[in-house]
Amino acid sequence: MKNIGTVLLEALKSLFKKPVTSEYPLKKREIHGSYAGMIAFEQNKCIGCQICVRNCPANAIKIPKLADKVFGCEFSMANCIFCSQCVLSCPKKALHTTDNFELAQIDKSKLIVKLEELSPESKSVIPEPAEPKSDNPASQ
Amino acid sequence: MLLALLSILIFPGFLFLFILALAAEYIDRKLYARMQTRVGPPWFQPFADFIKLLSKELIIPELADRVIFRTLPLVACAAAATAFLFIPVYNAESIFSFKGNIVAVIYILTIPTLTYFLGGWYSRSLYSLIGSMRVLTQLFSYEVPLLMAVLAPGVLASSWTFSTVINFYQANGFLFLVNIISFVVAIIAVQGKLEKVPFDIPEAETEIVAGTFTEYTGPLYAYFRLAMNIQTISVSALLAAVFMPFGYNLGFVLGVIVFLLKILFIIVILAVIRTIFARIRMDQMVMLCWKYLTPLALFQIFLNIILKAVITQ
Amino acid sequence: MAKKLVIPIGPQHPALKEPASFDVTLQGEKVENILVKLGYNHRGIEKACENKPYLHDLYLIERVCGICSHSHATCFLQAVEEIAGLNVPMRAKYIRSIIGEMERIHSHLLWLGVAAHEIGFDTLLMYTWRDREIIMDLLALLTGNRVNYAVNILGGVRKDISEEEKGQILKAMDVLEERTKYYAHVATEEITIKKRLSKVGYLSPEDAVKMGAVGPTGRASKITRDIRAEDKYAAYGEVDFKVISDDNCDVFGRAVVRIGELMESYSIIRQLIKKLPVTPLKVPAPLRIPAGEAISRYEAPRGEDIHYVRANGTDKPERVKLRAPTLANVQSVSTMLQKGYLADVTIVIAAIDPCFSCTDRMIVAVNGKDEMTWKQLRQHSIDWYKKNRGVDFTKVKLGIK
Repeated sequence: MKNIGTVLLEALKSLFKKPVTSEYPLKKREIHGSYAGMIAFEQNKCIGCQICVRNCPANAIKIPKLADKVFGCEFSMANCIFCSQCVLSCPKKALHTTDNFELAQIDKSKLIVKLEELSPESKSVIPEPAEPKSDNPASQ
Repeated sequence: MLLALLSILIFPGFLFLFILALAAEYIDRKLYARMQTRVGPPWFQPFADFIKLLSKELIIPELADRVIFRTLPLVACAAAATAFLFIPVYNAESIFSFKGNIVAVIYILTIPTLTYFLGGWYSRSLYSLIGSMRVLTQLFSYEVPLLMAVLAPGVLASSWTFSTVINFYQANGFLFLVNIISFVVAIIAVQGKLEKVPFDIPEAETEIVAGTFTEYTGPLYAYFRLAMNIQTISVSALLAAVFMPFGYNLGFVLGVIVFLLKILFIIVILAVIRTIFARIRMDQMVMLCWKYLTPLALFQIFLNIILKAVITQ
Repeated sequence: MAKKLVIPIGPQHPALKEPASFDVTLQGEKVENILVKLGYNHRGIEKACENKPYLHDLYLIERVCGICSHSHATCFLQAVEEIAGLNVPMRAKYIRSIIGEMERIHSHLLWLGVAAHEIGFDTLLMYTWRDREIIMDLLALLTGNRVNYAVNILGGVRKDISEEEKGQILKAMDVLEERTKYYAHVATEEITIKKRLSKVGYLSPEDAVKMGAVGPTGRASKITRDIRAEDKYAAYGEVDFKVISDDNCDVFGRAVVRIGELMESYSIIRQLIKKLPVTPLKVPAPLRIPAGEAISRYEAPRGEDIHYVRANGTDKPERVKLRAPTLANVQSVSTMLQKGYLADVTIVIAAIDPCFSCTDRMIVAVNGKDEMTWKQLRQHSIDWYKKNRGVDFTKVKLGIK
């Protein structure tokens, strides 16, 4: 008899505990700062060496030359596998990861993000990295 | 005439039953979720599911018998609801009362199970076929203990009519507590009848997809689900009337409240059982029913016969 | 009931999370014969590896399996490092082992939940997966990702474990150990679980050897073999642990072995954290790997994982061969299911902890009649799909622009 319903006590106790699951889009849980989510780009640090482009296993990143010694970053969220190899490869630390993981889009064309020329609307989709970088004029 | 129609259609007939059935599903799902430390569905979820299923496309398998395939869910609903009309709600008399109506209710409640079997059989699908075999095997194993357990209280009251049984126990105070063994047996058997864990063998999702209901889609599946929920209410009302025969002379409002509380109690027990067990195998289910439940129910009947002899002396 | 039924389990079935097909011949409820069909999820990973540099291969190999991603990546890297003659620093080896053990914990907790779900015990599924979140969060904290950790690089590891993180790991291990004790109590005592698991899927030690069962499947049949103890790769030479085995030889035994391994993993992680040496995290690795070949073995959560790499002096491997543990275990399923019930089929399949998309490999018979070159094979597959499925793959554009 002792072996019948061994989880009964735990189940009844759970009735009075806070549920572990949450109503996701309404309540979001905290993500640790080191989460390898969306890539952020600092234009003033980039020297256009293209190492990240060569090392990316998924062809997700492109560094086009915008002007003399000014480089942009074209980033495809559809291709990115979030391995953060580009962050590791960058010799000037111009790339870093953010904790933004809500990257799904209904419109396919929105998956390719030009990180250097973000308009104010799309900025809400891709927020600033977790630590505030006020001395960073590049990611405007 | 109008009053009879009202009582069939609105209270305690179909509308009342419909709301109760959806509420029963909600309580079952919410408790199940909370016991698993999940949030669970919002209160309107069963109704939303019902509406959603009604609006979905209906696909009937090519080889299935179209007429029977379409009729069965409605038959299941009707049978489950009809059973409820014979069960007393707030007073000892049910809407339609006749001698020996406990037996009649048990047999009407078997019809939905048979429709599940036929539904699976006429779907002409492998999973449905196996599911319907299992429905039938399960029916033969739980039906006997259930029948004996439900009839045992009537043995003491020398009648198998709801009003007589209820009046007998109401006159005798706490005498109904002697039926506790058969109540336990009935609860376990009902779990098998409602095809819930640990006896959800006929629709074991991880083995045979959805068992008998595999080929049922859209509105027809909605009616089957509704039938299952109405069956839950009908069976709970049956157990409440037979094993908890008190609070039937309190008048309309209080009577209904007591009735609802009794049904809630039984639904909670069923939900807890469903939470804390794993699904057992068909052979183990048959073994359990014939080896343990049937002797227990028999024991209760003998106990009641002896008790009756003691009381009448 | 005398008529024989052939029930298809899969390729799409609620019990299987991945495409694989099992044709079960039934006599009533009893299983008479079972036919295992694989190959629904062949992805050509080995071939793809030959066309990419080692750096890209690492991430590709990591995606062989969603659950044991670190196992495959480490196994591959061990082979490449052996060819290149790299001496991986101790701290890197320790961190690899810590992440590997965490992966085992998360895989075994996942398995416990899946097994509970297969026998209809959804409450245990919800409980184990709730606690699995602890280890998933820990992995996300340490590596940045919940599944494909990308913590390995050629010649070392990428991320360090700080003092603060050490504390968090130890705290999580205490919580998980207590919870695992509770699950051990539930899984071994609860009567409905015991009824469903014991004497189901019997695999005798002789059969286990014959069928080549590895990992927990083999260890539940009295085969006390564990690559961590035999090969002592990474930092496993520096810690004490028992090789858990069981003599039940059934699904119940497999559950007992996995729960025992969970407890061992907690102890291993505690020891590794305590001993974590201070060395650099990596040694510089060359882009071009000198010619040579190596075989690497790794005890993945599901069993022995084998990678073979042949290098030819360029920055791309000449041949990569990998054998996922499921390929070794899946053969024994039909033996396990003899004289079983239909109800047992899914739990027995689940008990080997299958991962079919890791498993699917293609073999071209060298001496057979159907010998084809790579080009012919490609053309054949295009023609086959055009004829049988109406998909014209020549029009499908590959490559990313």
